[in-house]
Amino acid sequence: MSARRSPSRAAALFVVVGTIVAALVLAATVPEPVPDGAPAVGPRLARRGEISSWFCAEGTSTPDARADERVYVTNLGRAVAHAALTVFSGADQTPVTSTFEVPGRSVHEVHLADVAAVAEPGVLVEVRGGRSVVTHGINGNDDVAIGPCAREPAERWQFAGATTVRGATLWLALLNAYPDDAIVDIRFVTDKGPVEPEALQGFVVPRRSRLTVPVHEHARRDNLVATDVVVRRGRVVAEQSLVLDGSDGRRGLALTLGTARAARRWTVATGAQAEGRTQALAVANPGKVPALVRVVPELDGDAEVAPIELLVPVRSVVPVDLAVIPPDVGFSLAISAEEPVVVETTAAVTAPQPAAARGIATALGSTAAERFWVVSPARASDRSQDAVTVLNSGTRRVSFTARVLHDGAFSVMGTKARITLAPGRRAVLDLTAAEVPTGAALVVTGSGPVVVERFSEGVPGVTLAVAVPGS
Amino acid sequence: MDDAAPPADGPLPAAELSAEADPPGRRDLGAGDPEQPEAGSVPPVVAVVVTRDPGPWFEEVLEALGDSDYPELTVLVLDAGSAEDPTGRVAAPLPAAFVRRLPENVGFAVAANEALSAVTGATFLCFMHDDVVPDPAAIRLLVEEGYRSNSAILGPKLVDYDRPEVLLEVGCSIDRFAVPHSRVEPGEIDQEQHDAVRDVFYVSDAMMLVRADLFSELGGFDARTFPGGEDLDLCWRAGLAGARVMVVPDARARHRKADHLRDDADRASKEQLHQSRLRALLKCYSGLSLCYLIPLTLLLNVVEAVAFLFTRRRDRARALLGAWVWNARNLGDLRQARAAAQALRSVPDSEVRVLQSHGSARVRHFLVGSLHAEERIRTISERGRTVADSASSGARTPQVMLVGAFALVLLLGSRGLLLGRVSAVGQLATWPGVGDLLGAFTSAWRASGLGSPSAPPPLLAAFAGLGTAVVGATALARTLLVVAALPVGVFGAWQLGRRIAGPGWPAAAAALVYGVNPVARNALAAGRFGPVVLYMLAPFVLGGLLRLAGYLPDEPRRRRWRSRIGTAALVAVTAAAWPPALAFPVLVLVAFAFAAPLARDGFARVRALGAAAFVSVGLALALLLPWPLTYLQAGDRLAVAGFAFRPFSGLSELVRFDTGPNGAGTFGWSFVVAAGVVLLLAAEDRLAWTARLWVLALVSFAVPFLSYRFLPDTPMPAVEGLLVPAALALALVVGVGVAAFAQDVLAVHFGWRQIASLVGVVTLAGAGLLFVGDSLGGRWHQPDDDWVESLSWMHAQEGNGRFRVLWLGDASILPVDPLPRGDVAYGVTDNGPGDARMALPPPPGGASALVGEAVDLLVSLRSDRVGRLLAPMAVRYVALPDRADPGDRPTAPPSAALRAGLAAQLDFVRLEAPAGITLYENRAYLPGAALLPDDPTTKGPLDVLDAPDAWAAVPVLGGPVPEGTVLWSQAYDGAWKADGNGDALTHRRAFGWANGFAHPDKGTVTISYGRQWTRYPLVLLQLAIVVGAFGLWRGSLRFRRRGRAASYADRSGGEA
Repeated sequence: MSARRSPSRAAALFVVVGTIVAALVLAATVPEPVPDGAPAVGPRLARRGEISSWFCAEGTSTPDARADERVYVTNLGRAVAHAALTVFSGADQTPVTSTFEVPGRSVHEVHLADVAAVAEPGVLVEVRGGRSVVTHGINGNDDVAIGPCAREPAERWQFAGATTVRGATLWLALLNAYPDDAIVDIRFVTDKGPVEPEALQGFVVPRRSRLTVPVHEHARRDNLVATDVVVRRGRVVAEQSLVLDGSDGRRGLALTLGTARAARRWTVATGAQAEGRTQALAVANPGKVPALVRVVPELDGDAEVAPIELLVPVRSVVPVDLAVIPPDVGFSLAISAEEPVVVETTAAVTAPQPAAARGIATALGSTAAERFWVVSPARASDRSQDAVTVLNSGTRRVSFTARVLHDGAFSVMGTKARITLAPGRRAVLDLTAAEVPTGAALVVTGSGPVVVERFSEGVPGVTLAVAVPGS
Repeated sequence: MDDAAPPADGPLPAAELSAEADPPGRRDLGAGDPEQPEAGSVPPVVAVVVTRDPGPWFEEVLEALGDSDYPELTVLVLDAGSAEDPTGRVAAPLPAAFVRRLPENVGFAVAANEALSAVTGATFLCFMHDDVVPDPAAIRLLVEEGYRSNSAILGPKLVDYDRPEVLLEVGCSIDRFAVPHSRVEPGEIDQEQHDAVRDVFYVSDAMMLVRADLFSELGGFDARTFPGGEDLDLCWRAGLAGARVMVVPDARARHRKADHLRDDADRASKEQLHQSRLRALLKCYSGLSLCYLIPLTLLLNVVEAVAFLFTRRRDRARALLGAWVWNARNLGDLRQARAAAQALRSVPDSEVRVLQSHGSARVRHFLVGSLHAEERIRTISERGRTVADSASSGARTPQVMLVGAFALVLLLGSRGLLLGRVSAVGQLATWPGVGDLLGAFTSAWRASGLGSPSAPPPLLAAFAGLGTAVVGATALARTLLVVAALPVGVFGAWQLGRRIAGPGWPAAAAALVYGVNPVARNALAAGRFGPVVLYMLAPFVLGGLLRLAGYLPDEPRRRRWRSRIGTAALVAVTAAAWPPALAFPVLVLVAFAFAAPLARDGFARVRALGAAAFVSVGLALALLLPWPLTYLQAGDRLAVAGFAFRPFSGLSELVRFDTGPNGAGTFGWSFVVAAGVVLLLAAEDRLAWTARLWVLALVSFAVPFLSYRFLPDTPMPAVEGLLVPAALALALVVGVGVAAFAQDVLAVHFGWRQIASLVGVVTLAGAGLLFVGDSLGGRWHQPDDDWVESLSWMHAQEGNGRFRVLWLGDASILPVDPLPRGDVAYGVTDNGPGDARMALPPPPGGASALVGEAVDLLVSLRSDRVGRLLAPMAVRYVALPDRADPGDRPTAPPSAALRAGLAAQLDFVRLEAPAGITLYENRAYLPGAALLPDDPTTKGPLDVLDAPDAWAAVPVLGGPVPEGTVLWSQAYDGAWKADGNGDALTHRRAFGWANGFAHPDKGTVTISYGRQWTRYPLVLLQLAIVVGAFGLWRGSLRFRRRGRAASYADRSGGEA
C-alpha cells in the first residue's frame, strides 16, 4: 500500500494568499454606488402607466368672480385617459367630483363653473391611462393667465416677484386635497424687509379644502413681495394670483405656481422690451446667507450686453434692472447665484399697445432644461397671438422639433421639421402664424436639453408660463 | 422422621403459656405492663414457617430454629402444596416440630393465617419464610424487645445469606402513596449504622414476630394483598389499632431471598405488587385522607404510566393503571376489608404518617431504579468521587480557568437578555401563546401576505414545543433559545475541535475562538434569528458530514444510519429557522472539493462527502415536508427563502466579521491572522486540515463578497449567516494550530515559528478583549426597545375591524421577514406589528403579489391613490422605519423617492409616531371583514381607484350587520365559506382577488375555511415522518447498545 502524500504547504499558501490578493484587486475596482437621486418635483408629464394627480389651487368658479377658471387636460398617449376632477371648497363642504374621458392625443377643456359653482375652488385632477398634462387658466380683469397645475405638495412654496402697490391685489391660494389638516407659516419678504403677520403663523388649512389669503392686506403697498409658505404639518399646494387695476399703468391678471425649491440656476427664456412692453425680474433670497447673483442677458442677434451682478441680502427680494437691455430685441436671461434663490419675471403690456393685448403675466424661471416639453393649450384663444420660445441653455448645439397635437394626431408645425440652436440661442415659434388650431397642444422635442416657454397676448390679455417638461 | 408429630387438622397443642401472659383484648393491644416474664415462665412463641418446595437450605433454617436460645419455642411448618412431603426433612433437625400440609399452593398469607386456627395459647407468632436463617438469639431478642417496648410486631435486621455483612432490610417505610421505601441502599455494608431499635412502619414477613392476640384481632394477613403487600398491610392495620411496629437490629437473620428461584406463583409480579399496595392504601387511610389521596395517586400513576409508555415500558404502565381496575373490580371485598380495618382504628392518620417517608418513593426509585440502581449507585458513587477528585484538581488548570472565564463573560454579556427581554428586532419576532402557535401550524390557511393555502413552517410547531416545555411561557422559551445559542455553538465547536484538532487545549482553543467571533453576537443584535440558529448548530452539522464522509476517525458501520438521520435532522432544524442553511452542506462539499488537491484527499473521500451532503439535504427536506413544497408556488421564491438583503459591501469588514455593533475594530483581523499563522506551522494531517478549513473559510467569505461585486442589485441572505462557516472554519484552524504548536513547533529550536505563534496568540487576545467589551452592556448590543413594543397600541384597533400593517424600508431594519422590491423591502403583518406566526411567509404569488405591485407604485411615484389600492387589502397602517429600533440613530433612512411617494398619497394621513418611524394611516382602508353596500364582486382590481372616498364599510365583528356584500380580504379561494343567519352565502371574487359574499338580509355572518380538514392528515404525516426518523435513530442507538453489551459479554467470557 502506497503512503499518502503529505499536503503541500506551498500550494496551500499559494491558494490562500492568491485568493486574498485577488479579492483585494476586485475590491479596489468596485464601482462607487450611485447616490440616491432626489425625485423630480414640479409639473411634469405623466409617465406611461402612471396615475397622475394635478393640483390647481387658484381660480374661481362663480359668476363674475375675479378669476374664472378653466382646466385643460391633455392626453399625449394613444389610449383613452380616464380623468376625475374633484372640486374642494371649504372643510365643511363635500367635494364634488366629475369624471370624464380624454381621447388619445387630444386636449379636453373643463369650465369649472360647469362642475361646481364655488367661490374659492381647489381642484384635484386625477388621470389614469394615457400620458397626461393638466394646466389651468384663469380669466378676469380683461386678462388671462394660463399655467401648469402642480404635481405634488411640498414642504415649502416660494414666490419672488409680486407686488402690492396701490391698485394691486395679491391672492395666495392654498389647496389641501388631503385627508388631514395642514398647518403653515406664511411670511413675506418685501423690498422694505420681511413681514411675518402673526395671523398667518400656524395658519390652518383644513383637510380637503382651499383657502385664499389676501396678501395685500398683510404686506401693504410694497413694490416687491416675495411670499414664503412653510408647511409645518400636512401637505398643501400654493399658487398666487395678482390683479392690477391699472393704477400704476398696468392692468391685468397674472398667475404663478410656487416653487418647492430655491435654486442656484434659473433661466428665463422669454424676454422682450419695447414701448408699452416691460419686463421685470425679481430675485428673492429666502436663505440665511447673502446671495451674489449674476444675470446674463442673451440677446437675439449679435448684440451683447454685460452681465448684471447684484447682491441679494438675507431674506430680501431685489429687482433686477434690465434697462441695459436695448428695446425691441428679444432676449433670454440666465441667472446664476452662489446661494439658492427664487427668480420670477413679470411682463406687462400697456399702452400704446392695443387694448386687447394689454395685461400682465408672471412666471417663475425655469430651473431645469429637458428634452421634451408640452405646451397646452398651445393657443390661449382663437384670437390670441401665441408664441413659444425654445431656448438652448446648454453648451452644445441642439436641434428640436415642434409638433402639434390635435384631434388624435400629431403634425409638424410649420415647414421646418427641425430647427437647430446654437448654445445660448433661442427660437420663437409663432403659433398663430403657423395656424396652430385652438384646442391643440404643442410638443417640443429636442436632441438635447432646452427650455420652453409660451407667451400669449391678445387673448385678451397676456399670459406667460414655462411649459410642462416630460421625459 | 418417625419422631415427628403427625400432621393434625385441628388446633395443635401449643406450649403452655405463662400465667403472666396478657389476655387478648383490643384495648390492651399495644398497652399493658411491660413486665419481664419471670425466669422459667417465658411466653410461648410459635415459629410459623411457611414453605413450598423448600430448597436445600431448608434444613439449615430448621437447624437454626433448633439452635435458638429461646426456651419456649415451638416450630410449626405450614407446607403450602409442596410436591414432596417435607415432613421428613422437618423431623430430622426438629423432631418436635409440627407440620401441617395444605392441599395446594395458597400463598404465604393464606398459609400463615392457618396459624389462627392451628395455634392456641401462643403469646407470639414468629412468621418466617423458609429461606431465612435466624441467629440463635434472634427470637429471644425480639421477644425481649416486645416486652420492653410493648410493641406488637417486631422484625429483625435482615442480612444477605451469603454475605452477612451486606444489609437487606432494617425495617421499612412507605410514602403516602403506599410505595415501600427502605433506608438501606442496595449492597450497603452493615457498619451498625442502622442498629438502633426504633419504630418503623412495617417489617418484612420474611421474619416477623407478631403478638398472637393482635394477629387474631387483625384477622391475620389479608390474602388479597399477597403477594407484595401482605406484611405492609398487616403492619398498617396494626398501626391503626395503636400497636407499635419496631425493628430490633440486634436480632439478626440471614435471608436467602430465594423467590427468584421459584416459579411465578410465588414471585410477586408488578401487577400484583401494585394491586396489593393500592388495596392497602384504600383500606387503611381514613375517608378524609382518601378524598385527596385517591385523585393525587391516580394522577401520579397516570403521569408515571405516560412516562413508561414513552420509555417503552408498557408492562409497567399497564401494571400501574391495572391496579386501579383490579381494585375497582373487587370493590365489594375491598369495602368489607376496609370496614374491618377502620373498625380497629384507634389513632388518626396523622399519627400513622409520622412513620411514612416524605415525597414519593417511586420518583426516587425511578431516578435510581431506571439506572439499574444497584450497580449504578455503586458506580456513581465511585465515579462521583473520581470526578470530584479530578474536578478539584482540573479546576485549577489554565484551560478550565479560561473556559470558565469565557462562560462567566458569556453569562454577564447575556444578563440583560435573561433578566429583561430579547427585543423583537429583525426576524426575532415575538412568540404568541402555545395555542396560537399550534393553531397557526395546524391551520390549512396561511395568513401571511394576503393569505394562501400554504403549509405553515414547522418552525411554529417547534416554537410551540419549546413553549410547552416551559409550561407555556413562550417568552421565556424564546429568550432561552436565543441566549443558549451561543454556548451551544461553542460546545459544538469544542466537540468538533476534539475530533479534528485533538482533545485538551486544541479543542478548547477552537471553542473559545468560535465563541469570541462577533458573527453570532451581531446576528443577535440585528435580529437575524436564522443565522443565530445556524451558529448554534453548524458545528454539529459539519461534524456529522465529516463523520459520514470518513474525514473523522472511523465510526462503526452500524452507526452510519444514526449519523445520517442525526445530521439530516440538524440540517432540517437549521433550515426550518433559516432556509438558506440547506446550502451549508453543499458549501462544505464545494470547499472540501476545492481543497482536496491541497490536502491530498482522494476522490472517493470527496465523493463520500458529496453523498453525505446530498443525503443530509434530501432527508432534511423530507423531514420538513410538506412545508418545502410551498417554495414551488408562484412568486419571488428567493425572497422568501431569505434572499432579501442588500449585498454586504466592504471586503475588510467581511474578513473582520465586522457586520454590526459587536467586535468592531482592528482586532477583528485576529481571526484571519491567527489562522494564517497556522498555515506556516502545521504539518502532515494538521496541514491537511488547515488547508481544508481555510478553503471553507475562503468560500464562505467569497459568497457575500462576490455577490456584492458582481450582483450588487441581487438580494442575498443575511450576511451573518453567510459568515458562520468562515467563523467556524477559522476557529477550527486555530485549534489545529494549537495542536501544531504542541507537536510541530515546540519540538524545533526557537525561531520564527515561535514568534509567529506568539503573534497569533496576541492578536487573538485582542479579539477576546473585544468580546469582553461587548459583554459590558449585558445585551450584546441588542436594543432595549423595538417597534413591536412601541406600536403595541395597534392591537387595540382590532376591535374596529381586522387590518394589516404594511412595513416599508430597508430590509436590514424591518421587523419582519422582508420581501425585496428594488431598493425597498416590504412586509405585511396582521392586526398590529405581528409575531412569529408571520415568519417565513410563502412566495408572494397570486393575490399577495398585489401588495408588491402597490409598493412599486409607491416607490416609483406612479400613483397618489395607492391607499385605495391597498384598501381592499385591509392595509390600515403604513410604517416606514429608518432604524431597527426606536432608541437607535437612523441607520437606513428611506430613499427620497419613497418618502415623497408616501407624502404624496391622497388617502394617507401621517400619524404621530416615535422618532425613527414614519407612520401613515390609510383613510381609505376597508376592514378585513367588512360589509359593503356597493357590491365589490362586480369590480376589478383597479376599479377601486374610482371608488368614492368613503365606502361606508361596516366592520363584521360578530354582531349583526346590514344587508350588502361581505368583503373578506383574504386571497380568493373556493373553500372559503360564509354563513349569514345560518344560510350559506353566495361566494364570488371581489375586486378580482378577494372574497365577496352576498348577504341579502341583516344578520350575523360567520366566515370559515372549508378545507381545514385537509391539514390534519398532513400534520399527522409530518409527525409520522419525524417520529419515524426518531424511531430509526433510536433503533440504531439501541442496536449500538446491544452491540456494546454483546462485546462486554464477550470480554467477560459469557458470564451473566
